[in-house]
Amino acid sequence: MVYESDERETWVEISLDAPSETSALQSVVSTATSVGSGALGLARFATETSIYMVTESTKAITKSILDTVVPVAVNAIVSRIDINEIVKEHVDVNEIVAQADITPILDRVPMAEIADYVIEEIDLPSLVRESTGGVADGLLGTIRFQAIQTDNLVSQIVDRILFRGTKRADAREVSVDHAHI
Amino acid sequence: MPTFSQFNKTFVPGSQVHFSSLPERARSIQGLSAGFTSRLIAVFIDIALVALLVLSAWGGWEALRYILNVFYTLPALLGVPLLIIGYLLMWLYWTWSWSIGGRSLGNILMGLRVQRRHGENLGLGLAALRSAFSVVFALGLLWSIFSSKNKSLQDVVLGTEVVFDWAPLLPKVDMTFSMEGDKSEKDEN
Repeated sequence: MVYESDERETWVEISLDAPSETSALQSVVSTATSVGSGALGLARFATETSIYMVTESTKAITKSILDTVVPVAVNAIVSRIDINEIVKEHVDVNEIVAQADITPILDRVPMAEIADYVIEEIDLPSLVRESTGGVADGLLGTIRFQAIQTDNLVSQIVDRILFRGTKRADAREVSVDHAHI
Repeated sequence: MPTFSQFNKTFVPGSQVHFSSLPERARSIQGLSAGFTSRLIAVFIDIALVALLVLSAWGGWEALRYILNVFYTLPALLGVPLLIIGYLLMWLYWTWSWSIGGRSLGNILMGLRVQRRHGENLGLGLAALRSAFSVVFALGLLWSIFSSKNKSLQDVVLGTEVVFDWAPLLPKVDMTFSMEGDKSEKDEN
């Protein structure tokens, strides 16, 4: 505000003076002008700097106050209300889920693992076996187990004769309960 | 009963389900080397199969000869030629069945599989070698009575083994669902 009026005065002086009134006056005026504008610039710089500093420090102080206060305040508020309850009351979850794109979710789902899990849980292989194997599988299993038990008998005798430390039959010992269906 | 997350933590693709397709009582012996008796019975079954094939072919041939020939003479006993044909057939059959899946009919019935040391299938060449060795010197099987790893002479020489493998050849779920073909192949071995 202050320097604007100064400027106008200077401008008026220059414009009203007659051109004939010599270079001395002109040099005085120009010196005065440059000194004036320098002073003005300095004043302006000082003002702007101080305004800037005040603004920034205010911002910083506000920010740090908010940073400390807001979490505490929000926490205090949130801990006093049941957000789940609010969401249940005011939000239609099904509506939101219906809008969700399911494809990327399914891409993240381990399908093969789930399939294996289900097969494991319902024991699908045994269902297949029971429905297709029947009597033949049971008979075959019995014959195989009898052969294995004879294997073990032979190995036991030979291992004992040869004084073997590790017995072959121990590894493939099959419990007798299992050998019959 | 594990939840899915528990199951998933311990999950090795393919292996568990493949394993669970075995009858429960056979799981403890799966993959162990098979003993002498099981293998002997399997060999007998194979021999019986080939003998049946050869004899029925011979019988058929004789019947044809009887029908076509007016003056039918009783056949001379063709022991040696039939035996040679039988040996040849046995060799071909074992070569073929061991190279494609490690199982001849006798192996299938007794739940056995012929494999290389780390479970790979015998290639055609190795299968032919082992088959020839077995046909020529069947007594080599006797060594499996004494070998601490149940290896017959053929197994010792050629680096093969015979294991219990009751698994019915069900496709693995992992193979059915997997996008990368090479991954499931890797899991198989």
